[in-house]
Amino acid sequence: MSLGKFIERLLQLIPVLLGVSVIVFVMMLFTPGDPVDIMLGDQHVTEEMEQALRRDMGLDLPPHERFFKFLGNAMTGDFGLSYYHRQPVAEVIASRLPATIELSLAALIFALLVSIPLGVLAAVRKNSFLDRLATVTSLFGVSLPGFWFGILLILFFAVNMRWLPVSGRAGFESEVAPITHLLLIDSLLRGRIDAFWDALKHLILPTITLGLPMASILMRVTRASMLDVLNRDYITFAEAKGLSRTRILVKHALKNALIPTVTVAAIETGSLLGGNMVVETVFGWPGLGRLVVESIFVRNYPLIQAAVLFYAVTYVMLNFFADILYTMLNPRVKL
Amino acid sequence: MRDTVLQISDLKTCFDTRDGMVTAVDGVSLSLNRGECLGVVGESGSGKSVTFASVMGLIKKPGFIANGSITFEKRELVGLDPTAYRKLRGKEIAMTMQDALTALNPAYTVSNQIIEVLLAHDDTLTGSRKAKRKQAREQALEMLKLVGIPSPESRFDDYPHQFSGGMRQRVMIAIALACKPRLLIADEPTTALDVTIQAQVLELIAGIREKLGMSVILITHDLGVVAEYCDNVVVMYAGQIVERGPTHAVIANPQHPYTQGLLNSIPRLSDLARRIEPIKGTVPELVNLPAQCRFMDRCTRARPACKTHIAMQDCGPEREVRCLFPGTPGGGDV
Repeated sequence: MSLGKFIERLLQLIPVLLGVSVIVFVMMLFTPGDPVDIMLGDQHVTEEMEQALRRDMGLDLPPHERFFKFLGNAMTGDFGLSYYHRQPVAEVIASRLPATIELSLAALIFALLVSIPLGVLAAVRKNSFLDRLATVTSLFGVSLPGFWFGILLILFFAVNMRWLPVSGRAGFESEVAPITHLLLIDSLLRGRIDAFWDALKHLILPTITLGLPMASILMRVTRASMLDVLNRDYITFAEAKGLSRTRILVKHALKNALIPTVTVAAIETGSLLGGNMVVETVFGWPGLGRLVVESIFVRNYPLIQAAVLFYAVTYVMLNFFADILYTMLNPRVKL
Repeated sequence: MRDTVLQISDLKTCFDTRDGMVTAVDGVSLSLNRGECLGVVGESGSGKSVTFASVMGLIKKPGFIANGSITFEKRELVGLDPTAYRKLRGKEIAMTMQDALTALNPAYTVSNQIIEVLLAHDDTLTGSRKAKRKQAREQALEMLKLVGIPSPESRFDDYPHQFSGGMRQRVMIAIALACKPRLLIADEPTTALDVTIQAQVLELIAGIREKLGMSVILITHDLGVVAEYCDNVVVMYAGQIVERGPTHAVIANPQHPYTQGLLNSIPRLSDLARRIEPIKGTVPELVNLPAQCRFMDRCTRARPACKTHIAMQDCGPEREVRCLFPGTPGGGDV
C-alpha cells in the first residue's frame, strides 16, 4: 500500500462529497416545511422580526447562492451554526459523536463475535440442528425492523423483567470526567467499576438491536464462504499433511473464508450509521443518529448537511479500510 | 525377500447419496513392496482416487469404508483412531494432489506450509517453539533444494501464486516429502502440467524414491507415464481392478479388452496412419450394478456368459485379469 494510492483514495473523496452535498441540498430544498416557521411556532411575531431571523439564518438568499456559500464555508471547515443550538455545527456533532461511536463499535464487536463463530460452526456441522437454528434465527435477524425489535426488547428486559434500563446512555450518578468520551473506557480508566456496569447495562439492548441484522448477514456470509472453502483442495491437502482439525479449521479454512466476511462487514458497518438513527431514537441514545433525526424534524439544514457529509466520509473510509484488510487476508491482491 | 508396505484386501468404499448407494470402490485388493513403484491407471470415475483416499483415511460423509482391510506396515488402517491416523498422514504416508495451485493454501507462504508439516510430525526438532521453528525452517529449505527450486532462499517466503506451475508442483512434492514418508501416493502428479515439465517432475519423484527408498503409488490415466516409471501396474475400471501385472508384460500383452482400449487410444508417432480408437460409451453409473462384467456394454467381446459375477483369474506370471475371454487380438503391438 503506497502513499500514492492513499492520496488517490483521498482525492476520490472529493467528487463523492460534492455529489452528496448537492443531493442533500436539493432534497432539503424540496422538502416541505420551513425552519423559520417551525422555529417560531405559534408565537406572534412581526413580519420584520421574521425577516430578520431569516436573514440571520442565511435563508433570505436564493438557493444557488446559499449552496455556494455553504460550499465555500465548508472548504474552510466552517459548516455554519446549528439553528437550534446556536453553536457551530461541528461542535454540536463532535459532542454527540462519542456516544454514536461507542454504540457502533459495540454493535460491530457484538456482530463479529456472534457471527463468525456461529457461521463457522454452522458450516462445519452443516444440516445439523445448530446449523438450522442459526439459519432460521439469522432470517429473523435481517427481517425484523429495528424500531419494532428494539421496543420488544425494552418491553421484556426493561419494563417486565427490570433487568436493564429503558433508555439513555448512563445514569446521573455514574458520570465520570471524560478522557476518551467513550463511557465504558473512561469509567475503567477512572477506576469507576460502578459506572462501567451502569454504562454496560445501558449499552446492551441498543447494541443487540443495532448489531443483530449485521450479525445475521455476516453469519450467513461466513457460513457460505466457509462451506465453499472446506471443499477446496487445499483443505484436503492440509488433512493429508496430518494437521490437527483445529489448525485446519482456524488456519487453513478460516483465513480464506473471512475474505468475503470482511468485505461485507465493512459495508455493513457503513449501514450501522443508518441503523443508528432508528436505534438511538428508540433507546433515547444521545448520539449523532438521534441528533440527525431531530434536526430533520425541525429542518435544521446546516446540521443535516454536515452530518450527511460526515456519514459519506465515514462510509468511504470504511470501504478503504476494508480494501486494506482484504489485501492483508488475500496475498493475491495488491492495492 | 518381499517386504510388503501396503496391503489392501477386498476394499469396498461406498457413498450414500440421494440416488442410492454408490459403490465407488468394489473389492479392490493390491499390495505394494518396499521401494516399489505401482501405477494405478483408469479413467475418471474408475475409483482410483477414492481407493487411495481410503488409504489416507480421507473419506468423508456421505462416504464410508464398507468392507475390507488396509494394512500399512502390518498396521490395520480401517477403523484406526483419528488421532493415530493424523500422526500417520503426512509423516509415514504422504500424498500429492493433481493441481498444486488448488492444493496449496493461497493465504500462506510456501515456507509456512512446509514448516507446519515438519512442526506437526518431526520429533527430531528440539528446544523451544522458536528453536523448533528455526530448525524446521532449515529443513524446509533443504527440501526445496532437494526438489530443485532454484535459489530457494529467495523464493522461500513467496506465496504459491508467485510460482510457475512446475515449481508449484515441486513445492507440493517438497511438502509431501518433508517428513521422509515411507509411502508416497502421487495422485495425477503430471496432469496439470506442460509435457516438458511432466518429465522433470516424474524424474524428480523417481530420483527421490531411490534416495529415500520409499514406495510410490502413481495414480494416472497416462499409460505412457506408467510404462516409463512403474514396476507394476493395476488397471481399474468402474471401481474394480480389471488387470494387474508387471508393467512391461501388461503393456506388451494386455489381456483385458479395456486395457487394450486404453492402449489403442494413445497416439503413436511410429504409426501415424493408424487411427486412434476411442473406447465407445462411458463408465457405467455405480449405483445398483447388476452382477455382470462392468465393461460389458462397451466391450466387443461381450457374450451372454459375461452376465455373471466375474472374478480375477491368473493369466501368466504374477498377472491377473477380470475377463472370461482374455487375450490380445493380433498380439502385443507396442
